[in-house]
Amino acid sequence: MTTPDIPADGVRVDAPANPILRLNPITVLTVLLAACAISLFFGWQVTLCLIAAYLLTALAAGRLGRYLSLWLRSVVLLSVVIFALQALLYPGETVLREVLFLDITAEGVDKGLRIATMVMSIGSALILGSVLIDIRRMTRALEQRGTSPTASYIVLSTLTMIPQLKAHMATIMDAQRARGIETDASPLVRAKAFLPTLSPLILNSIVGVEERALTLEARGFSSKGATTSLVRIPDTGIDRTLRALTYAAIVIALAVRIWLWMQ
Amino acid sequence: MTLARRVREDFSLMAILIIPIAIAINFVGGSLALALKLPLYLDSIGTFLVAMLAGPFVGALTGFLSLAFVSATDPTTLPWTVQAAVVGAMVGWLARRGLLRRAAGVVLTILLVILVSVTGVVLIRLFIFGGFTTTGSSVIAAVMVAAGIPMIPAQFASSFVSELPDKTLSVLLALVVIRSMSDRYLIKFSNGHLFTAHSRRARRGKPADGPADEAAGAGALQLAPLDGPSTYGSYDRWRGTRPAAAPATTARAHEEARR
Repeated sequence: MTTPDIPADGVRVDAPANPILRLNPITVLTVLLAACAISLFFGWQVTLCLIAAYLLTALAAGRLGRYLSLWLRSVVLLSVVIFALQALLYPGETVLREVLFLDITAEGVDKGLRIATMVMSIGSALILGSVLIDIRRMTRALEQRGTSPTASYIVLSTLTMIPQLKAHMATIMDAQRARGIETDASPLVRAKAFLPTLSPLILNSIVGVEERALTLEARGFSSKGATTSLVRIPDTGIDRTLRALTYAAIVIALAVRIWLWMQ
Repeated sequence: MTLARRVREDFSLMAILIIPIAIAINFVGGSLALALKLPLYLDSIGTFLVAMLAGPFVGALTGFLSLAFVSATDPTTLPWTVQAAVVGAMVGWLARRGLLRRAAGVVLTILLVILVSVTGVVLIRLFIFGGFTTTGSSVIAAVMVAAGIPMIPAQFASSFVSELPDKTLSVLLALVVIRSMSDRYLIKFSNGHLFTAHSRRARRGKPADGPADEAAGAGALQLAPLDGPSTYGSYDRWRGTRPAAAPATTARAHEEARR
């Protein structure tokens, strides 16, 4: 059901070859948020199934390596720590086992499992989102839905600004080290190195803002008229079907949950 | 003035352009603290700077966005966006009330910031993560709980220990940076007039070049036919919408200029 509308002159349709990466970012976000909500309705079994699905999706998109490295470092680590600490430290009646001077209680294991499941279910879905969604495409897709171009500017400008400032900071740190500022000594000495490194960086980058304002103004940044973009994110029939299915899935999950409560 | 109007006035072009830089400063400050192996986060300097310059709404957005960017790769930081936004808004509001112009006010601001962020940290830790996360201060809390101290005092004590030096340094660093900005730069932000050397002199009772400045202000009134707050900088100050160092005189000059 794809509408074969031909883009205007010079407009590029941003559609990567991989079918998962080609999806409209808004579709991906809708599906993942729905998956979060559904996994919160049910226990850890559903979360486990969904995580398997996320891993398969990441594999299909060719981003499994990136997904795993982010996932293990943040979400899995935090879940394991939360589970272990709750199991060990949460006070309770039924002692399952003693480790040194701490008791593992059934209540602690229960609470730890509940919180760890929540962190896992939300975190895993969001990491899949950050792996699959390109922020440039996301802001553009949102703009097509009517968000302000200024919001896109803030987000995209931040993306370019961070590596720029990082490179700048490395330069300043080298320069200050050449002047003889200690960067590897006792904590107090290192703390003293913080100000002469950061303040030139901040002042420099802030002074550049004014020139940027003039430049943008000269190019009609705050003009109120309609804007034209040279990139278009396609919103195909597949996207619309997926979104409709997601809404249906939420309604079904909610119904099942209520039915389970009634039992 | 309605809330929507106030928000729109705060988001001048200069404020919008400084948000990405502030977020990048937060990032760089945090990674510099890591590189220097300091036991601090120092990842809110940019937020405080923007909040002081451009008010509570811009401060809140900056705090929110900088944590949102972190959580793009580490979703476990997502709940902290709320805390960063609240602290950013609070610093902006306190700055707008003129608290940062005196030493006593600065001390009060730092205390309030620490109070709010400690409360925020404890609430988020208890209600979302059940008490423990992977940060250093949370490990301290876990050790304290294991040693038999009750949960809530242990959480407050451990996060206070880490927030006290961190937030004190962040607020002071942001103030140092603002102090080294020039007047002509500061006045382009909605809170900037509070920090100018001119307003400092006026407060000390030494209006050195006061009359000359008033005349210049009246001249600028006629020269600046800007319409709408989204126009360059925040020149609306000159049009009398915001009280300057001497609001009465400016307003009168405004009236005269119109006639």
